[in-house]
Amino acid sequence: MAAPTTASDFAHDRSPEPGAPGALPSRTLAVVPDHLRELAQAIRPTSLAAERTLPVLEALAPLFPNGALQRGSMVQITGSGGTAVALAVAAGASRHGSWVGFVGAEMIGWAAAEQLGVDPRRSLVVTDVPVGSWASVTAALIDAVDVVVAAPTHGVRPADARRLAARARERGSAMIVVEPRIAWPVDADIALRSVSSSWHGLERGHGRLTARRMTIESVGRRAAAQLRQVEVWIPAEDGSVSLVDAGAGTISLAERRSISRVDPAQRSRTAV
Amino acid sequence: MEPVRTLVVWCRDWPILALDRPVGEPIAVVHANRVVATSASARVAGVEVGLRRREAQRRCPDVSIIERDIDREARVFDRVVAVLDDIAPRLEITRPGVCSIPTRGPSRYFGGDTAVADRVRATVGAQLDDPSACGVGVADGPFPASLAAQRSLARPGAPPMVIAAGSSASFVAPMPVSVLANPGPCSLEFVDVLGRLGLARLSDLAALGSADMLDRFGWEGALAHRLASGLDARTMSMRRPPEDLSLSIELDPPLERVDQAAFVGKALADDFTSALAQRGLAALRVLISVHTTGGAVVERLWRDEGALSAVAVAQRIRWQLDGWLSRPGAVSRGGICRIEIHPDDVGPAVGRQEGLWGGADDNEERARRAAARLQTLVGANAVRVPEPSGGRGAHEQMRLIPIDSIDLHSRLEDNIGDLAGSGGRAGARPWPGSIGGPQPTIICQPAWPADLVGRAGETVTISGRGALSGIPTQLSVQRSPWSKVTGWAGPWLIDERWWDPIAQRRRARMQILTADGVGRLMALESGRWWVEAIYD
Repeated sequence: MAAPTTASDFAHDRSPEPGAPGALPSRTLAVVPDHLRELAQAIRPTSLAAERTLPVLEALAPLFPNGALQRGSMVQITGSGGTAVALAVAAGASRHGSWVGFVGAEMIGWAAAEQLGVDPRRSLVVTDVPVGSWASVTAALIDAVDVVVAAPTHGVRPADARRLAARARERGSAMIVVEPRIAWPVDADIALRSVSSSWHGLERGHGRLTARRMTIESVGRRAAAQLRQVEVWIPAEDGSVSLVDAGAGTISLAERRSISRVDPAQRSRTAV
Repeated sequence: MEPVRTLVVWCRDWPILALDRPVGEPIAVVHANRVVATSASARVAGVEVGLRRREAQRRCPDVSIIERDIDREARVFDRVVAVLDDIAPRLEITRPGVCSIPTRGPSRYFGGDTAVADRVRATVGAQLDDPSACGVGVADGPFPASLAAQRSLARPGAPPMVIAAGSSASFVAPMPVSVLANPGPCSLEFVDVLGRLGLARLSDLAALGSADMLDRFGWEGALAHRLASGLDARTMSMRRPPEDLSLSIELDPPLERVDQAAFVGKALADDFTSALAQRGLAALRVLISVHTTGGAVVERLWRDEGALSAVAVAQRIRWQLDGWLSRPGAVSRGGICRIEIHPDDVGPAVGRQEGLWGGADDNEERARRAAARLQTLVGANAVRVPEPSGGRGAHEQMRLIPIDSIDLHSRLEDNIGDLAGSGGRAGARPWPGSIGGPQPTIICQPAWPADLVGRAGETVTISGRGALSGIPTQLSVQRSPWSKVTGWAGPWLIDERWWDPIAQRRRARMQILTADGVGRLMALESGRWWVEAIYD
């Protein structure tokens, strides 16, 4: 390995490419640490739409096309354990310096949010939102933060929902709608549904809740039109969010669940 | 440049004095779970600044613990120093409890520094329940004057201490280096480094070369050297600010309420500090004037030895308005029609290094602006951030606090590092009786009533020693259909505040898992079951 020829900030961390100091070819990207790779992504002069993404936790990556949360997309979360899934989806971006805004989320347990990886120092929570200004408050949040987690407490008009979706697309923020109580009136780009959720560690009279195994499936529009499914621990016994092996414990991304195609009719049923 | 003869008024334990409690009661004022001020009787009992709340209560069970309210401190202090306006026109407030006056004019008028000091001491002392809590010191510059004021408090009756002109250097020389951090502007870490280098007294520090101090410690080192040599800190950087940096805003219609004006003031403060920052400057002292429709003008100088940030300027606008409105006769002066900020003293911005490539700083700025906009939509207190607080219950470990009550930036910088495993922060201390493991994602507040029954349909109860009366088999939340209980654990008995007949609570918590896979945190209190939280 030759000595670096340019005094670059990351010269000592990557294989030097004499003559191409700023190009960062993909070959060398393999050896740079994660944070530098992200930085290189962030400062690249141009990016394709598909590359304008927010990171998600590794265990949840198989649920999203390209393995990341597309900026400007709307994610809908249903099923038992939806709150934890929403927090885990937001956690990836939050860990990488994005702010997360919460609206209608007074009931969230912030200690749990922190455990799942949402940084409380980069969270903005709007409480006591009057029914009339729910849409404008959410829009203002979309303008400001990378990820908005919304839990509507009352019916949202379809026109408002569409406008918010357009706003998110325009501003490049991702919006996560949790709907244990109120259905979201329009189709989201990606719908995540927790198919099953079971807690481990609690027995009849002893133990305590330690880990939860969840099966989550995702289906959506365009690039997300395939039905994807993962089995994850949210959280695992060590508090992390990780993929489930056939037995117990955690394994790497390589063992991700098979991805199957579904016919369009079934897809539209699932997405509703 | 000649040092400015300065008089400093230093009120001992201002957070305590501002409370207006009877003298002699043991009181500790806490902020973020740490004691920040104590009354004399609490000190005798061993309560010290910096202790945790619990430790303070352990050492002195009678102590009243009061949460710090800095707005109130500022308001009360404004009322106290308002009487000084008759003695000196250019009064500047460093922080609630400390203010200073340049003595050149008043000394000539009253016949010497000692005469002014006696007069100030008598006037301010008359405002306080305990006149001996007010120290007055005069010296060459605010730093030695603050020291003199502090030292005067140690003498019986606290007579003013006047250090003769030109002898401030010899006055500060034997002082320990810790005074650089209090009352001086240096950081505790810096003072700690000096101590470890073997520099115990200011004279040791002054004996070093100022260029060496600048070399080794940068701006802070040079400042410390100047202070230790008895020189004035501000002459180092003081310059006349360019005229156009003053900002003002006309309010039409005039504002009647402080919170409205404070909101406007915040936007003004943001513009003000960013205009200064563009020129590489930071405000060390600002003059804030508020005009009313009745023709009254309320002016105050505010100083901070570090630079005043936008948040700090906005806070001072609010303090000034609060203090003024709480004075008698304020209402008749009409609404607030104009607010002005003048940079009175500026220095080079030596503050922080921003990130090289956008990143988090850009996000933070966006979030801050959004928060201001959201406040106009839903009110100042509805925009909140989660903050660790500490406690046993799921809802007590983190709480939501209004975003205005914290400085977002320092919060981001303060506890950088891994959050999940951080042992350093107050809320993360062990709380006996809390349930570990994953925390519930939904908190029910107020708790939902529920029924938990055994095989025969009888309510499950828990004895005083923690024994279950039967095996829980079915659960109904808020009279919903029964669901089968598949797992349970506990009970964890909690007897909180048993020493206090009003705040006392006795509960038993259990984790209950039902057939639909939902985990719940339930509590039995006074014979009834409640759902406290859901592991959704």
